[in-house]
Amino acid sequence: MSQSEKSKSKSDLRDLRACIAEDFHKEGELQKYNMLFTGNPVPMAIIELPSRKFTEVNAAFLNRLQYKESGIIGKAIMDIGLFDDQEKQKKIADVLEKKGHIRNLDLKIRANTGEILNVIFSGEVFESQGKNFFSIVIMDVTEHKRNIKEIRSKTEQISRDKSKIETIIQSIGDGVFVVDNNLRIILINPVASQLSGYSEKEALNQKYSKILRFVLESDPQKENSDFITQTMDTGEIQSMPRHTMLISREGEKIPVADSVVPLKNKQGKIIGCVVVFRDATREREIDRMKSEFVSLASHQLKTPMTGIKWMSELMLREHLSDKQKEYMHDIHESTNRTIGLVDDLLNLSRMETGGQFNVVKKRIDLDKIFKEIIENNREFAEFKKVDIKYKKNSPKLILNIDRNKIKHALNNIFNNSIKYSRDDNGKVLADIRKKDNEILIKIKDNGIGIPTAQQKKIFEKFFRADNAQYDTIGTGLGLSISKSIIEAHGGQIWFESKKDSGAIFYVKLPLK
Amino acid sequence: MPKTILIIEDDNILQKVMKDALKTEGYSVIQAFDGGAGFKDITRVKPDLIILDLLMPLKPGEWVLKKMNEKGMMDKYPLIVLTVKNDAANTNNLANLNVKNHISKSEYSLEMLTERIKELI
Repeated sequence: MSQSEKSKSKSDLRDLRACIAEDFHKEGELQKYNMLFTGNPVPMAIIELPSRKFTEVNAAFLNRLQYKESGIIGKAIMDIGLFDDQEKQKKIADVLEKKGHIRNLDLKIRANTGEILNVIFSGEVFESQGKNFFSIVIMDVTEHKRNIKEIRSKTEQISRDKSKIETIIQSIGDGVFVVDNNLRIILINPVASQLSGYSEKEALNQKYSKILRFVLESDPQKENSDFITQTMDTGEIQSMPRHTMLISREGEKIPVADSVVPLKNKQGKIIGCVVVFRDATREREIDRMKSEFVSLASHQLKTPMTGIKWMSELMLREHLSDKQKEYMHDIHESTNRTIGLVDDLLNLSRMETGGQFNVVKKRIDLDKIFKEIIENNREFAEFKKVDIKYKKNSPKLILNIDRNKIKHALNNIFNNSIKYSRDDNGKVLADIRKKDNEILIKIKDNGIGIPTAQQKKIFEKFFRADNAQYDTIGTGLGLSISKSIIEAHGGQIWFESKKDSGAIFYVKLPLK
Repeated sequence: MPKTILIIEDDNILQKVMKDALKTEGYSVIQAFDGGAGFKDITRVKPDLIILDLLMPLKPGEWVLKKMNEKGMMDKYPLIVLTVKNDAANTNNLANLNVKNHISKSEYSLEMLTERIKELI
């Protein structure tokens, strides 16, 4: 644009303002005009006809379309590449020709920077002082459209996710159901519905305990679904107890296994829980077969083991050289150890099948049992040079217990305390105290102790602490069996220990 | 006249060990290797004591015990039943068959077995 053109367009602008002001016929109307046009947050422009040149644009227009006033005033609207769509540009040109108007045309326009904006375009030809002008208003809906697009895409994503989760829950091979705070079923999948015998329609909004009745194999009369309420109370994942069964609508008992996960809202409040369970008939059957096999094999092993044991006993009565006696003694001892191991395996298989031992209680003097245990371990203690002390606070310690099992349980602990003693300077103290309704047995040693990090696992099957692994023989079954025996008697077992500073094992047994 | 002990046990080695140990103690020993033969021997020999194994093929110890119960022979003969199962179910079962003495083979030494016999006869 030349200098003269520029000054012309500026003088045109003054003319236009003057014209408009005159049109209003009032003083102060220029101020109103300024408010309506110049200060309007909506981009507006006025184009002179028939030249179609911009004669006036407001600040919002310059700002949104990234023009400077000097860069647009005097330019023809069709020359600056404002319209992205040729067809719509033609439509606008037609309007200009016919001196008509455009209302709310959905349009894409190009800013000075090349950015494409989504706008609603309105324009109207008007006459002032014998001249025609075209006023345009551009509503920028780019942001709005972007938001709508985003919302739409998010909504689609959510619905896709939702249908994905629904598909998973519906087609998963496990039974799944969800309960709310009031323990009412809010979701149940086809497997859960099939196992329970209730349709989704029948199950929804019902208390879960009406639909999904969980019991223990050992006591099918008593409902056992504490794992669900515990999850609600503690907010922690709970496993179904071993040997849980589901009683279906038809009264069929189906072995089931798995877990319960709490559902929490954003504030961490528990709002329900998800129960996942599977039909465990087959695995329970395999478990049973495995245990039966172990039991049968162990029993079959015992007869030949007894043969070796008794034969070596007879042999020891013969005239043997010292060396022969020593060897025969070793055979005898190894056989005893093997028999002990077979017994452990048997006990384990019993725990696996029945969940607990069958205990046959009789009135027994614990003092006698303990003296037998000490006697059985005396030789071992002498070999390890461990000093044994035994104290009690009552002459008789009569308890209602299964003699062999309690002896086995206490022997495991007592034997451990000698086994894990330091060579040469070991000390084991057994102390039995009778109190009002119970007996407390304390077995203390000054041995290698149990590393703190591993103390939680000490009663687990086959677990052996790091410092016990290499120097001593053991299967990691003893304490686990002892615990089961003691608990089957309604007792408790626990310990205190530090690595390298010995251990104290406590056993509490009820008197009756 | 030495006292006679009838051992009903299918395992050859255990039979041999018990026979040798008991003979050394001065007993006369009769051996039966299954329940059927054993039961016949009871009526034929009328032993002073019976040692009976439970786990035997064909006619197990339990069969012998049932027969003895039927014929009212349980109080006539001191009896020691040998078991490998020392669980509660087994103990109850033996109690129902009126067995007063049963020992778990693997937990007993020969010496303990002979002491038990001496207590009974």
